[in-house]
Amino acid sequence: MKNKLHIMKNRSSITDEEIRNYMNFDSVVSQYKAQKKRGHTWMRTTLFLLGIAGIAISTFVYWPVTPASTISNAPALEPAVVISDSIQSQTEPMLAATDTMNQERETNVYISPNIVVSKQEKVPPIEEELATPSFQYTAAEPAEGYPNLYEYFTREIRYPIEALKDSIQGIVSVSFTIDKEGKPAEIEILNSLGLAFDKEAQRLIENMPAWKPATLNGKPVAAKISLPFTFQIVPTNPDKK
Amino acid sequence: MVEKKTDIASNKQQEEDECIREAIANPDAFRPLYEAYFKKIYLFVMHRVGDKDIAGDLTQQVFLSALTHIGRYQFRGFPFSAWLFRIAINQCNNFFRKKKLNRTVVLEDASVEHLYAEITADQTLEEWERQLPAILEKLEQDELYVIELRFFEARPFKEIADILGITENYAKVRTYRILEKMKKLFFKKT
Repeated sequence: MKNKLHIMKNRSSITDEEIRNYMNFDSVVSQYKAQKKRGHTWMRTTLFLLGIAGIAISTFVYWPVTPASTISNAPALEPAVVISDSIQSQTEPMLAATDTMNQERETNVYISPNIVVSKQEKVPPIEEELATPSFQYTAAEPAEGYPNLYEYFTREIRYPIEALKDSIQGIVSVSFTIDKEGKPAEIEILNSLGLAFDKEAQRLIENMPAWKPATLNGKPVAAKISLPFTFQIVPTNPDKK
Repeated sequence: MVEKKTDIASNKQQEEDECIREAIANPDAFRPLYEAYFKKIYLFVMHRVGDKDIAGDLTQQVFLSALTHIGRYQFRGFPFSAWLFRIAINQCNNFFRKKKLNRTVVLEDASVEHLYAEITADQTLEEWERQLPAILEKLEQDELYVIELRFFEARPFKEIADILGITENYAKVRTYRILEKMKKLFFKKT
């Protein structure tokens, strides 16, 4: 059972007069002012504490650095840092590309695919990169560019005719992985509009043109992509509204 | 006539926008909005908590919260009232969670019949009436809001969408899906 409910068969009657008795704007304003005052005091205290913490941290950091510079002739030290042999995940800035391309079909159905998010997910071991901890990551992208991919979606997407009688419209979100060969795998429907729509979205992803896999320091890696497909019905005659 | 109506609506919108802008610096400027929407929000809360005094307190909290965050409200194509309803939903949900109290649903005969017409089942209306409370209890919290707003309070899809922060189309899809879920629950039980 999700929520235990208390069922009332009738709305309890309440007069406008009674409701007015609960109105007290001045109390709202005075609570607001008190809240604001508290907020300011709290903010001042936080700033003060942050100041103290800042001074403490800078002293702490400065301390060990100074003696270290005096041991340049000391025997070579063993690397003291142990780094685990794989990095689980690394988040890259999200790549966002949107496009709206609509095309009217014979079935009078208007469909617009938008591509929104590309996010890198799996990273292979990078032991040899320890010396240079900076990572060069390029996001996965369609081999022939995004415009061609949109064109493919617009050309191929079909509104499931059986859903027309219910006038279903909305967005199907699909997530999939572009593997090291640039092929889609692990297709997953994130937001379903019904089986027919899910199948259509899956068909489009399975048959889409090849992708250039994402790379990390020049090596191909798998990357996770999410695409929303918008299924929308528009009237036959656009002038007639 | 239609133009006149639109003019009145846009004038009202302009006045509201002015109040909102002023209220950021001067909380007293919020008074007209408080007076215009108190009753609506009070009744909304009242029908969900089922107690007049608690509804009074929570409604005050809704307006306090709105005034505190008034700088965050920007006109994005949905009315100010929808923003207040959203705050009210959050206040109610927090209240039920903190106090561990049961949520109230007002289930009038007309609402039961309205939903029955949508389900178009072979079973009798009496059977539906008997099952409905248990079916409503099986819904998620936000699904229950959709059903209440649409079928018990007869609000248009546009308003439901504004209150829940989704598109009008999605509000329709959502309603359709929840009805399907209710249908399945009903047939499972009978």
